[in-house]
Amino acid sequence: MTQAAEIALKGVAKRFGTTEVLPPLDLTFTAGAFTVILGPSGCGKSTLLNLIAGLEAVSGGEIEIGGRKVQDLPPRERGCAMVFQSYALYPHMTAGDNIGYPLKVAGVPRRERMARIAEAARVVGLGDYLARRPSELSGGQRQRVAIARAIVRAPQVMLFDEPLSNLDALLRHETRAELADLHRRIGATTVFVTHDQAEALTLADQIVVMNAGRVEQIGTPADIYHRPATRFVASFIGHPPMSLIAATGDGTWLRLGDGTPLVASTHKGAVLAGVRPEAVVLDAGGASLVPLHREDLGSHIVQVFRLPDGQKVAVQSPAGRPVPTDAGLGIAEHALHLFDAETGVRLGS
Amino acid sequence: MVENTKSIDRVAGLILALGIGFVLLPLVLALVTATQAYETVLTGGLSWLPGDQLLVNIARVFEETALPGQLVNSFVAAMLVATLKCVFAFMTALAIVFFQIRWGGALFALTLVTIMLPLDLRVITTYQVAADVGMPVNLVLDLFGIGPLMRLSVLDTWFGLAAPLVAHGTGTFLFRQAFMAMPRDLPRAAVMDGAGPVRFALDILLPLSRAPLIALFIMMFLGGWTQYLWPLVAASRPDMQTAVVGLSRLANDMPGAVPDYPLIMAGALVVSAIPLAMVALLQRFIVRGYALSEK
Repeated sequence: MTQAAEIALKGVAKRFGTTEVLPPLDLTFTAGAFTVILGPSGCGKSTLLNLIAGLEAVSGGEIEIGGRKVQDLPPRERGCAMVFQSYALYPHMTAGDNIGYPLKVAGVPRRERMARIAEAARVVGLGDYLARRPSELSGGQRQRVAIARAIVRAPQVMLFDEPLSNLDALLRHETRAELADLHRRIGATTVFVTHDQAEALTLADQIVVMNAGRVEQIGTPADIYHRPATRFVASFIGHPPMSLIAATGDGTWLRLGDGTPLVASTHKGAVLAGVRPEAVVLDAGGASLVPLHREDLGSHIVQVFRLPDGQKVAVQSPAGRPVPTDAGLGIAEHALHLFDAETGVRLGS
Repeated sequence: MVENTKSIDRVAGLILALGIGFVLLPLVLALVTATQAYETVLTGGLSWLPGDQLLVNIARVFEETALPGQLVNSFVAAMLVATLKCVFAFMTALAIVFFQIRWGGALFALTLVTIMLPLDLRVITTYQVAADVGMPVNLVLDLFGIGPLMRLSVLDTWFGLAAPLVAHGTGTFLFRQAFMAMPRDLPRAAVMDGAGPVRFALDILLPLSRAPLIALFIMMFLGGWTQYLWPLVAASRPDMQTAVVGLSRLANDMPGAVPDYPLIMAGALVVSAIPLAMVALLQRFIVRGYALSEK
């Protein structure tokens, strides 16, 4: 068990030359929490991780880990350990030597080193593979070695850079559960970068959704899913994602471009009306739907329809019960998410 | 081969055999000549028929010529050249690939200039510097009217034989390619594990560069061993000359007389024995080193 430390970013910014990759950012990672930074590739999430780790220098602002300002310290003095997407194991060393390398660099005596290597290997469930080279290990085993190498120094902060993306789907699912379990046992403050929403929703205590260098929303998985703060979060989270329909409110109805009433609402002016595929209710009196295509996923069916003004909406229905083709669109008011048409910011509660 | 016909194979084989014969014939003649007595050559000229004097001639090389001592010079100089070249090339490539240095690209281009401006082109200026190592400093001091600080010549020393050959871009280029082929996260992982640049270089980079290192060492040793022009001007005393230079001197020892071809050829055999053994023993590393990837 290690001592977890809070990470506080205060006005942290990163520029490469004149290109601003990360505008000044304030962010707190609660001590001992599992925080996932989620976003599409190129959104700056890996850069943020590198800034915390010290692999890249901040262009401005302060980083505090456990109350200590670390932005000018070299990585080894920050108390962070990192698991890389490619694992970055040393190919010429055995698994055991890989795990023990941070201790060797730190000058830990051989006897103690051996004990701690064995303990780290035990924690990640790495059995009798310590004498093997990375090239003789499977992808999953290599990843365990990488994680063991990260925890062997009992870091205050664990950083993960898309560690699951090189595993096949089945193994990824298993490893996800193991990582959650590992975090409970280790207790270190964990920052996990991914573009996979399933990883984010299942692992995180707190999710930070990023897009184009900006933080779109910070919240629990339930917050992010049920109350997306921006149009981007709404369209990024959920599978299939929320349908976003451009509409105009006249005080009693939100109407589509051709005047068809969509849903009752007191809102006035142009908005984006969002509705999750599973929250659509069918109402014969609602806007008419023209079926476009259908995906039968076994457990459920996703159907895409065209609205009278040409926009599309996805509807999810239980297995074996496709939506009848003469159905109309109904949206319960509590299932409606409204976003400002200009700024994409969530409207109302 | 895309096509797999016997006739093409045969023709290709024949062309190869002709090529090999063309390259090997002079070597065969040298070998045969080394087995003959000086008297036979004096009366009958060069012959393709082997004689029985090979061991006698080799013994004469060790007894009558300065070659044994010159072999030591060659060995020491070539080892110095190869070792220092590897060290410098490794460190230069380390700096260029793993550190974000200002003008890194320009620095790399400058190191490559040494490939395009070989020592043979700048032998006179290099000689001037070798004869007076303090010259660059003295030139500056001269501007301020201060007398020369020191006069130190490295001519006729092992260091002088090796040093001008040491700075060469080929090795930097080779290591740069090898380093750039390494996983991008490897140095980052080492940094996270607390390793500084020196530890990273010694613990991670060096073991992973074994193949290119050995390949470079062999090539540079051979290059140093077969150098002719620089050792010729850098060492004037026979006891400091290298074996290759000494070998060429054998032909000119007695002006007017017919050169002792059997002795010279036996000397050539002796001089090529060391690099030949080196290539024979380590050739698999040469191939692997230039393949640039370590599995």
